[in-house]
Amino acid sequence: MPVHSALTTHPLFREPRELMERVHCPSCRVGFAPSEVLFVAEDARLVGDPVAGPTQQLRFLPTRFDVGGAALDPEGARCTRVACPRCRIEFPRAMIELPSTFISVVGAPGCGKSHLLAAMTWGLRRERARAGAFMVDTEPKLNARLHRDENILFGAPDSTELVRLAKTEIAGDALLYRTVRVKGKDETLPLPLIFTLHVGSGGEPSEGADGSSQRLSALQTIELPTNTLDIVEPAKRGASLVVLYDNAGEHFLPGADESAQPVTRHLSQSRAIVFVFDPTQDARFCAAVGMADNGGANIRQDLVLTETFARVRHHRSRHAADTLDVPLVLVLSKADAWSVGAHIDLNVEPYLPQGGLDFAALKKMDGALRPLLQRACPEFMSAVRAATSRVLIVPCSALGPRTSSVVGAGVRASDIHPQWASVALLTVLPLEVDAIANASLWT
Amino acid sequence: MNAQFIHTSLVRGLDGGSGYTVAGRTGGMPMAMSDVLCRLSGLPPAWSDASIEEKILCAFRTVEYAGQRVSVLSHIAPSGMDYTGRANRISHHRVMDEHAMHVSDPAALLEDESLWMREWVGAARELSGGELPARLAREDAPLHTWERVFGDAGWAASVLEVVMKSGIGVWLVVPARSKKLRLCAEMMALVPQEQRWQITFATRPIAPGSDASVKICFVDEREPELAAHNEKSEWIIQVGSGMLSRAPAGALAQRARVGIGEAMHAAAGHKPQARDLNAHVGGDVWTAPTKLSAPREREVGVVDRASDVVGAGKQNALPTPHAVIEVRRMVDTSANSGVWKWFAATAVVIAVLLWLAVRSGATL
Repeated sequence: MPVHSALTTHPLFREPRELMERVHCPSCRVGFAPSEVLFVAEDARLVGDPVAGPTQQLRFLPTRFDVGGAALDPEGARCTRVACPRCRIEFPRAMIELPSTFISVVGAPGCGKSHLLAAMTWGLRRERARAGAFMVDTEPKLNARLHRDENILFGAPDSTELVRLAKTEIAGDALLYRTVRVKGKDETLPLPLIFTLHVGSGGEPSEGADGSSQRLSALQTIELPTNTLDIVEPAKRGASLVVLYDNAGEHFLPGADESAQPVTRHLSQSRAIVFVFDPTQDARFCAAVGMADNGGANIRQDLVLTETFARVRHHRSRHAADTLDVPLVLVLSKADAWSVGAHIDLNVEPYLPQGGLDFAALKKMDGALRPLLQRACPEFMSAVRAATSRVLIVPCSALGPRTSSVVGAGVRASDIHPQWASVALLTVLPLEVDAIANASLWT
Repeated sequence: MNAQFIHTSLVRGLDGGSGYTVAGRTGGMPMAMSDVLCRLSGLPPAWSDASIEEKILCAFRTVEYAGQRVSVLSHIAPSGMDYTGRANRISHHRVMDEHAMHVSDPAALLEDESLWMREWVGAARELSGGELPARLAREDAPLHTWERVFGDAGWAASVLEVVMKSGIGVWLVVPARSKKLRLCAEMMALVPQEQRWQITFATRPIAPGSDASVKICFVDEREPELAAHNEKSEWIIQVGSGMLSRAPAGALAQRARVGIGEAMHAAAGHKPQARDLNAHVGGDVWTAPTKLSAPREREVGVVDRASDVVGAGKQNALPTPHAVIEVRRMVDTSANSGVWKWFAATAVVIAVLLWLAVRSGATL
């Protein structure tokens, strides 16, 4: 196509494409302008990059583009994949075009983070009418690790097969971590899970912030103000990204934040933190809900929480006396095992008939669990209170009620029916964090 | 001193953490070394129906800590269930000292299962360094596993040549159910003992390009990580294609096929006795010698092209006819290389310059 005709007909030249002013790499957290983004060479001869590694395609700052706006690599191949200028790890091109929300999933080893993540994302892929929002992979290739877990739990070809997720490795899993050589030094960085968020049930007019406002009015709380968040309007159009991190619990233990393996630095940018508290790892909680002995595994989860928020404070350069207002969703996992003793009903999930979260039900559940935690684990609640001023407590069973008595080899695939799995994520999605704040839920 | 390091999932580790943590460590080990070994302890996920033996990662790596490089042998294996009821693994690392490296080779040590823990019992605790027995692969045996897996033991020599030429390391794709550590140990037997500690290796995929990467990974064709890479990449090699498309030739390949004794016989023009050959072929059960023979003086003077590539075989002087052929080949090579043309051209230029200088001097 001649260039002069492209100038009048090609959409690229008719509408300027809006880019984010500044982008943060989802792996190494460095901020940069879209103009600094490197492209990934496509020509098969351009293998080897000094930072990304000798097996990776070359990363380069393009100087030549085709008429469609795609970069041309030194051999003339059309390139569309982009990478961070510092760590050179590939990320979705959508990140330079759409606003992103970072959410960290934190917890002690064995608390159920990976099960929760697989169940919550699977739920939000499928139940858009009920949840009032749904997510799709921004670039499926980059979420390969999550697909592996989802397939194990929800995609078993034989429904009678016993399934279970493997323990998350602290290193060596190529789907979880990538080692790059920055300034001559090896750095192992986490690979995030990136989704495009669609608010509203899709197809029909988006409920989004307006729906939240109605629900809040029903609760007779203050009205939701005109939303000024940069992320809400794009989210309503299905044009916002959610970046999730699933670390091994060992990475949150005191002393595990190393410069050679800075895998928890995402805490510095997280819009909200989902802390998975495993009541079955606390003997006093088990006793309080009448559960059998947990076999002596009594993990100090309060130290994990304190360490997490110490890192948040440290990486955000906050003064020790400053109060952090990072929303903290405290997910009490494995609820199928203790819900009866705690007198809570997991069968009633906090969704409105027309879709979206039922804040009244959430507040009621928070009110039921808070005294129980305060009574059984006072030091943990003290750590929570010291960490942040915005806390919401929700239960969760990532596998469902029929799996609680199964141990050892795994659970039967047909028995997996998660309860309250997507709730925690929905409460911290861009639209809801501030909406719920106004509903006085975050206390 | 040798040092040991055990990393597995426990309720409480030596440093206080839970989950994957330090279960055992030689007393006095620097924390910097401990941190480095923690980072080497991961076990990559295997394909769905992999057996326990197929999941084991055996590796010899050299890593840097606090400005110095150390040689580390790692044996990382599945290890039942941990305290949370999930699949556990145990990583057993041994940091080698000079003496152990002098009397053993890495693959032979890794093959000795008595040296590696498969299960951790009890609480976390400090360990002794532990003396290691001498373990050496035989240099004179034919490579039966290579022959069985690839149809020709000579491929071991070809692979070795590619490994030594590669700057970043290679992944050798091996057929399903191959004994990867045995393949590695046999290939190492082609290299002089003192050089075996220069070839790092692993029996599961380790991404090239980092401090912890190795020169050769023996990668099962079913490995999920293999599918994530372009199999036509230069660093992924397969017997019979790409860099390994030509049938192996040369003295080292011959030695891989029939062992060092038979190779010398063949080179000398002697036909091996059927009885001797049977003795080699029939020796299927391999046992590593537990005692190192006294170091021998290296015989230098005969150039072997194949062994030159891998730096091996200099201690085994070839018989005279073979050496003569080699010398002729070298002369041919230098004659055909075109160097003499450059000498001639340079001489002509110098002569012209001299002539001009003399002529100009005469006119002055």
